[in-house]
Amino acid sequence: MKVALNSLGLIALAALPFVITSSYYLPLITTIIIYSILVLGLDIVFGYTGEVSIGHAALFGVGAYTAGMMWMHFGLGFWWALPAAVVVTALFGALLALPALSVTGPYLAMVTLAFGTIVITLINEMTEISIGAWWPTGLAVLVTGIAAVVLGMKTTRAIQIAGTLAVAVAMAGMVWAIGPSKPLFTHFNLTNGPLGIELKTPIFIDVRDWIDISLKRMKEVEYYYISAIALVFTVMIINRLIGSRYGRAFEALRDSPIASDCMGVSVYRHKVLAFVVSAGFAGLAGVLYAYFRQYIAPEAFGFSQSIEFLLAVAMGGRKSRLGPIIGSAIIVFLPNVLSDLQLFRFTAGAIAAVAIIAGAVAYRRDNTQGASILTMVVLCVSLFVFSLFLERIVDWKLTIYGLMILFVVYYLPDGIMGFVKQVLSSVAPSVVAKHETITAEADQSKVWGAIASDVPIGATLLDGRQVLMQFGGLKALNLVDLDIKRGTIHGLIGPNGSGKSTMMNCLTGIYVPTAGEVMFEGKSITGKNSPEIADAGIARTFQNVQLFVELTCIENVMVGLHHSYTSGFFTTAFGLPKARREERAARERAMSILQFVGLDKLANEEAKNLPYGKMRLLEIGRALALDPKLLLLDEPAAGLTAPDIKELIEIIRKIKAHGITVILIEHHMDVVMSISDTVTVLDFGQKIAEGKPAEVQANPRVIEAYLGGSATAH
Amino acid sequence: MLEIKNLVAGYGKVRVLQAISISVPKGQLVTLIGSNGAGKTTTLRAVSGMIQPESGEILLNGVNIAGKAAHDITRLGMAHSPEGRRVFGTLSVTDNLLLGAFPRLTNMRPKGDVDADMGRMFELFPRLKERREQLAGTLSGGEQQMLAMARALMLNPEVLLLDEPSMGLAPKLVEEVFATIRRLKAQKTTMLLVEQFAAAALDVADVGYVMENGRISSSGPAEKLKNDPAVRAAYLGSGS
Repeated sequence: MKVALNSLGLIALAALPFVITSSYYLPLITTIIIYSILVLGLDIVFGYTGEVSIGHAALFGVGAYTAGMMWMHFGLGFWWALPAAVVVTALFGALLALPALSVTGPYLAMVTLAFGTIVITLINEMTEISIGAWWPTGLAVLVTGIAAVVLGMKTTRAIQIAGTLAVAVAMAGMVWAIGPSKPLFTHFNLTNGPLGIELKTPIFIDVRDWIDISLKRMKEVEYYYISAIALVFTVMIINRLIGSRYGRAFEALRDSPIASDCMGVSVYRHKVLAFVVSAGFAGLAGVLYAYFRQYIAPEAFGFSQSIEFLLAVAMGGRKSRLGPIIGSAIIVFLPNVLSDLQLFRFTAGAIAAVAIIAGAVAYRRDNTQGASILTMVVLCVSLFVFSLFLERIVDWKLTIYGLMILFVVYYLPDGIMGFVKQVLSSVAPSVVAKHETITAEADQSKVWGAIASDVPIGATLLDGRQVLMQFGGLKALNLVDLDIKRGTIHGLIGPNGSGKSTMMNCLTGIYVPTAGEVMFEGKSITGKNSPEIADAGIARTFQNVQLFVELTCIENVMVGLHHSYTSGFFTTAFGLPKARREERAARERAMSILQFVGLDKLANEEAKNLPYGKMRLLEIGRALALDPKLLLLDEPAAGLTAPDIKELIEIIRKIKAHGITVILIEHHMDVVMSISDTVTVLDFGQKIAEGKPAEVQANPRVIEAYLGGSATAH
Repeated sequence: MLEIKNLVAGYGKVRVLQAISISVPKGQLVTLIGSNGAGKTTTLRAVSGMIQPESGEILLNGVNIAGKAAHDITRLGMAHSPEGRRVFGTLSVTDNLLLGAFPRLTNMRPKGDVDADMGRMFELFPRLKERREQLAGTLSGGEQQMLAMARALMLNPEVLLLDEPSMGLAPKLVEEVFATIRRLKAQKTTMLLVEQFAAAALDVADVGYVMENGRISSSGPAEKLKNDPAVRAAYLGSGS
């Protein structure tokens, strides 16, 4: 079904220039296509990682100006500009994402706004640069490039390569600037400022010899095809990325940054990657735009343009391919619709008709929402009636524009695609499924990965030495020693607020202990960050469940398997056989793990729809996917009933049998006492007892502080 | 007091509750037990208006509240102490309690003596009194649970819904929570209790309902359910 729809879309795209011969509409459609490329890229940041970027128009401008400046200064045309613009803009994207290390949400949005303003100002002002000033400019590019190289080491090779290129460009620029043939202080016009740059739409293949066609029409059609190919390419790449470990990482870091870091999926690295990829597409769109419009000026890339791009994502629908395309069509067509009264009446009529039909369908499905459905229908119909009485549309243009946006955002919070999917879900669920249904054979031999450790069974695997964790005046952990032997289950109990979870957080890099040291396999892990510790082989679950709620169960486990992939970014983006093979293997492994924790039947269910107890089991499954040497379970039995607890005990026993060491925080004494080899008791941040379960249970201090009178009742 | 009749509810297209009926008489403690995903929490969420039921009736003092908004239901005297506590972390303990009394302070409900009730809460939960000015987010899990219960009680509710009050608590605190529930019962508070510690819940309750896959599979006096071999095998387990 999906394949059929895709082919239909492709055919429609290919046939369009034969249907639309108007030299007014075809360029308009080309504009939609170019915007779509950018908006699709923006959706990676906005829809998937959940960050708002108000700087994408500036990135669009960077792409366009790369093309413009290459033409203006060096006479390098379209084919040179295309790759250069993508790389340069991607670099700017990395620059834009750098603050993501410390700010997120609305603050990051403000950073992107500032970025946009700076870029536009620079384009406006960089008209009178003296050659001498090449030095600071070159230096800036050089520093940026080096920063990108360094960043690339921490993130992905793509940024590193781009950084190296930037360093080379900067060096070449500086050599050129001080070259002997050049006078030292001439004024140099880098961007041509507000006057803008003129370019020429290229001729790709001159078909006038064979077909009777005007030069203008030929250029239009050719450029339409070039843009359409770029769009198809964009959709393909994004589809692959979103369906891969990278797409899952983007969504994981949005739903729970802490859990992503603890699964070895660095939030920072992937957020930067998302911005870089997104910027790359903005660059591609920019270069296409520059050669399409044949003239670029800074005001086309300002703040309001950024807002329009965001609106296109929001109105079209986040997290889909079709949504951004529909959104782009709206932002391109709407100003046209609003300048032609007849067209506006026609559109308003169509909207009213659709609203009546949709309202009727919605009412039949859910008659409790009668009032709000009626409001929607009445609003749409009154817009149509209003349009009939309207005489001069120009006076009302902005008002109508604003009202329509308000309407869409209020009534269609998931955008137009979200609405369409909702309506279609009863008719053809497979077409509009939110998630790809993943089927794979579960195989119990594939549950366990290789766990090689130099530490022999029974020797110290993790050694916490005098760990002190201070919050202001409060000592949450007061010089605690913790000695975990490999191959054991180590219970950690104590009253609420005694420091157990703080200890977990110190061991997994969420907190850095104020003093003391934690050694894992003989190496210090104090001060390392969560992804590094996860890579070292420590996995965990969370007391207050931290699942990736918008991902399905199997996708949650596959985020845990992130580390098992060796195919890099480009291998994945182009869908090479190696990437596909790894993806298949990961699916089988994830399904096997789900079966092990008893969730294979729910594999394609969104995690947020699971009952509480099953969420905890899914967290264990996700942690096992990391192939940990040490597994920290934080209250796995909370919210489980007696029969579930029996199953849980079996699962933990099997985990131990496969050589995984377990630290178990739990309040259900029947669990702790029946499976722990050693139990440590904390109270007020201090260790008050340690030993075999029976000894600890009989310890008067433990009874006093923790177990209470009926210690044996639970 | 609270009558649930043929309630059908769920999330989106997933139907969790398949026509359940529960009756909570005035001054009694009714408990709802069952395995994970049976629909216990969903029942409470539907009753307090956090999700909209598809069909069925929920009568509070004879008034049908099914489909009303959560804040309107609260004004009619339904207090919900939710699963996972959900205290207002950045507000003090006192402010959390005052927010529990919000409909009274804004005269949406008979005002009574809010200060006296606050004192009563501190009597019931002495730990909260010690921590009165502390931010709720910095309380330990057990203290947060007590706060969640106290906040719900500050409404002077007709019916108190308690969802998993013992979850994630140390054994000693679990005892304390159940002791508090006994005390509330002695004061004739009408309660609907959802609990994983099924044995302990049936110990304190007057009436019990067992849920299975969104349906009530059996019900009766708590004492009788506790000795029912089928219930024992399925829900009371070995360790409890």
